[in-house]
Amino acid sequence: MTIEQAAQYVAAAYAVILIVLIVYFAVTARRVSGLRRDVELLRREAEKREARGEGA
Amino acid sequence: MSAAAQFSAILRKDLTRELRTREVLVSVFLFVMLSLVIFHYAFASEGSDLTFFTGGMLWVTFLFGALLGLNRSFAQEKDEGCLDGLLLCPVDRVTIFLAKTAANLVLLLAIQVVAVPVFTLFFVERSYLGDLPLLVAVVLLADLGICALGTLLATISMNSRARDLLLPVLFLPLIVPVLIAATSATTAIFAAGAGLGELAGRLIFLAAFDAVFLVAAYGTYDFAIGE
Amino acid sequence: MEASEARIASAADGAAGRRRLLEAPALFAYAGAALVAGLLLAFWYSPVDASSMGFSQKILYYHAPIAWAALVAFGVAFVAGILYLRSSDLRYDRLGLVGVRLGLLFSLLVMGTGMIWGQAAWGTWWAWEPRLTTFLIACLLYAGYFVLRSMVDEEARRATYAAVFAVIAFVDVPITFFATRFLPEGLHPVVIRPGDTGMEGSMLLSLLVSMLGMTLLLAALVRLEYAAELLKDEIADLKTALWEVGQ
Repeated sequence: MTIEQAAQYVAAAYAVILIVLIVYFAVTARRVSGLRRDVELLRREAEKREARGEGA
Repeated sequence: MSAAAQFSAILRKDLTRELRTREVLVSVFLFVMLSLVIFHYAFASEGSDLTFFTGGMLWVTFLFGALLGLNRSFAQEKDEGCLDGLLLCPVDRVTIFLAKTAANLVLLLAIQVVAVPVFTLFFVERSYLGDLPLLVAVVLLADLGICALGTLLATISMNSRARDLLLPVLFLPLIVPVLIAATSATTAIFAAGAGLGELAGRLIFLAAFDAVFLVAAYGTYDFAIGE
Repeated sequence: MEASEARIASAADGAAGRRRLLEAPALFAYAGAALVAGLLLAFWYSPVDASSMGFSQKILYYHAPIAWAALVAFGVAFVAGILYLRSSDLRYDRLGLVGVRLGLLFSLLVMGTGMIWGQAAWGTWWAWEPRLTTFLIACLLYAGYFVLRSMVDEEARRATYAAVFAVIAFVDVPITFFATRFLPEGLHPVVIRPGDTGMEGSMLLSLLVSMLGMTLLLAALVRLEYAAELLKDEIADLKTALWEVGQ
């Protein structure tokens, strides 16, 4: 196998690694920011209800 | 009651129950016999030499038979509430584990005592009577690993949904090393004969596997069997 | 009323701590730096392999670190499992879950790169050689971990069983590798083993740098995912508390 042919395989392997890891990271990061948003929403809602409860 | 007495009591209970109904014994034995027939037709082409497949066929059959038997016997236990009753007694959980493993081992051996000669009749050309002690050693060590790991995992899967599906999924990947060692050792004995020198490595490996997982089960069985 | 207000308050306290965990970007930065450095070293510093594999051996410089990282991830799940069994703290269960998930991801990458390497070096996409086989079995084994979790409904029991399985599985992986490497199948010993070349010093350096990079990357991903799991738990707690307040 010539170096050019081997280089294609090597490039393919590293490309696979890079793509998989980037995609995985992107998906996870998006999921985390979604979760953070939800937590904020819920906490604000909880504080609101607490205040209403105490006011009444 | 001493641990040894508890052990034999539980062992005797399990074996007596099985002897009375013979549910597991008969069905697993039939399964094993049918598997042998199926293997013959699976590899059927005129004059095909199956010598190098013998170890594999034998152990695949025993593995799946063991899975069937484990599923069944634990399902019986759970449905009849035997285990709950047992847990109420002041018995060390590990004793329960060892007794159940021993019971499964006895049942598996009982089936193999008949199955191996039949298998020899169907598939093995060579007389390996000279190597019989070695074969017995391989079978015993492999069985111990199968029963110990199987009993531990069956205890877990018994308490889950779809328990018959879960046990093979958990058990098969873990038992691969035993399969590798037992298969190659058995094929060596059936095909060309093997001396202790050749098989020593695999026997030691099997023994080590058994030791490691008995220890692992000892450490975790309390949790597996639950409060 | 009392209990739910207390639960909201404690959820808020936990939130501050968990947000601290999310400051993992530094780890990612270090990991990226080490990985890039390793890559540069691998191609511009280390010599081309002298054996028949030649240039395709360059795949090893990420392939081996990924394999290492996968094992570390499973090791994390192993330790988390033990810690859970001793303490019954569900956070260890979350950590174990994260460890297995990332271990599985990295194991798949090991197999993928291993197969590409195999095609380049031996002309075949698959061979039943020790590394590929062991990681295949590890994938199947740890996939079973998720099957197990999905089939137990009660939370404490699920965590217990998962922990027991994570412990058993991790013990089995090196045994499986040993079996595939040293116990010849049938009567024909397994021969193919890429990477049998001795590693020169310059090769070793690139490899170690990449290994450090992958370990850091794993650490960063574990932190991120673990924080995500804790956030999910917090959301569930908040929802329960809110539902109760609404009653």
